[in-house]
Amino acid sequence: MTRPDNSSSPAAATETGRPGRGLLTAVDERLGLSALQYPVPEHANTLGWSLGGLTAASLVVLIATGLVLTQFFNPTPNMANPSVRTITTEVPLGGFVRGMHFWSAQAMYVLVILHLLRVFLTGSYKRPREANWLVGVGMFALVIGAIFTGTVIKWDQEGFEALAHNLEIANLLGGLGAWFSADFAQNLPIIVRLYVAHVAIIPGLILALLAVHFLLIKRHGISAEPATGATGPTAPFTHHLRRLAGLALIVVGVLGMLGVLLPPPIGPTPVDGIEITRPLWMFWWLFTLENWWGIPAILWGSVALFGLLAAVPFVDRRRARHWRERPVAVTAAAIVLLTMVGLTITMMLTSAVEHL
Amino acid sequence: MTHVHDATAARRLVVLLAAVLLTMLTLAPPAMAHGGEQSDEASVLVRQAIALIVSSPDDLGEIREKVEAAREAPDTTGVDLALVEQADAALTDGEDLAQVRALLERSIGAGAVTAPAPDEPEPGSATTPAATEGAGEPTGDMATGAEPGTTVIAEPLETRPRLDATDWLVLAGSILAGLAGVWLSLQYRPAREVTR
Repeated sequence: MTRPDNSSSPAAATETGRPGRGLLTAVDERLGLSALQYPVPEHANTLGWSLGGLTAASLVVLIATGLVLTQFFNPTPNMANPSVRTITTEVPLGGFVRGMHFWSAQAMYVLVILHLLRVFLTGSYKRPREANWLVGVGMFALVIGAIFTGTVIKWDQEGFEALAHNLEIANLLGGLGAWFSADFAQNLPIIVRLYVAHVAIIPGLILALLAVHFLLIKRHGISAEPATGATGPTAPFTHHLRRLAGLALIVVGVLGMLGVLLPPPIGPTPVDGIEITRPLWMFWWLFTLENWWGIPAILWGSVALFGLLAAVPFVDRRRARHWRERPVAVTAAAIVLLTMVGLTITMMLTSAVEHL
Repeated sequence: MTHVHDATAARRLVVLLAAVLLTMLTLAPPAMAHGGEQSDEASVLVRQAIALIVSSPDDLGEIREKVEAAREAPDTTGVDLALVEQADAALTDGEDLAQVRALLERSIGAGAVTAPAPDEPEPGSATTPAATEGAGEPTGDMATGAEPGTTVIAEPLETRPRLDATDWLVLAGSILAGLAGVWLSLQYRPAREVTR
């Protein structure tokens, strides 16, 4: 038995009374959009539970602005810095697009941390969602990688000093750091490989993990309210999307304002062998560690943070999900967070130091 | 039974990975920590001095140190030492740093950067040959590995906004988008937030 083909029939529009509805019906028949109306808990529409979606919205802004920037950026040592200047000063709306890109990267970093914190505090990583927590931690690492490579490829003094640290850490890693070392492809400037990582490898991995992340959320469902353990009232997922669209518009609006009012600067063309700049604020906690214990501390600090994050679902295995019922886990997380904030503030109060 | 095997296999995998990681780290050469070595090439030291003048002009001690190191460097290839000495003297006499920088740039063949002739393009701009190829070096050389690729030190580009009509338009659009977002998110907030 075959379904009647009413695709070209005006009946669809007549049935619903409005031509627009008819179009929607036609599109739905082909794309199955109504499948998005599956029920999700209503608490998914709150701000705290929308942080993951807002992180994804920042990624969309990053990709859109990044696509524009790739049309004008020249990823070679001689031309990278001048081409960023050209984008800023000569390309129509180039400064604004670069500003949006710069600020949306920072927004994504902040939002992914807030999202991780929300998931941690509501115990949403607990069985059976451990794998999805690890996927999220992986994406967090990739976001940091994207910010790092983006910093380097603008090829100013700050970026070049960040690269110098990268090379030292690659040496420290021995065989594991081979790809990150300049010797990996000796006939090619390392900026080209970092550019490829920035525009293809890292975003590709983020998108792949994002697909897995979404699939696992669909598989396990949105986690229940931690206080009651009950799902509570539900609403169609499309309601979550429209609420998210509203919140995402706020983020886009703020990013646009920042892009116009606080455009990112570009530093002087780089010189090897000096250290006179500070890294981006996201890396300040690591650089305080470096000031105290040298370059290996950057590596060990990063390994410790991501090791702790990865261990969370395997260490905290009790069923209790409300943060008040998990004093040890919450205290440990608070200590880690406060340590990072303290190290960041310490870096704010110190000037750039030579490490290399 | 299968679960026990899985757990054992997982534990072995973790131990194996840890062992591989530790071995690779142990075999790695030590990384430089605080205080690297000074270059023995005068041209590198001159560029470093120029970079310090551009980025941290208040740090006169460091600038002087680099200039003096350049004067005494064993490898003076491509550097006019007489000009470096003039720059050193200018520093000692408390001359304007712009003049010191001009002397240093001329000493490595990058003199056009701070003192362009009227018909020359703006230094450091994207279309400036000096900025794109590296003054004083043969053209067509492509930097490899982690070489900076430029000998010219362009000034930082400050981007303090002087809003033109387009900027105002974009700003207004952003504000409107934000306000629309506020309206939409209030409109579609979950029932329990409305109840609160």
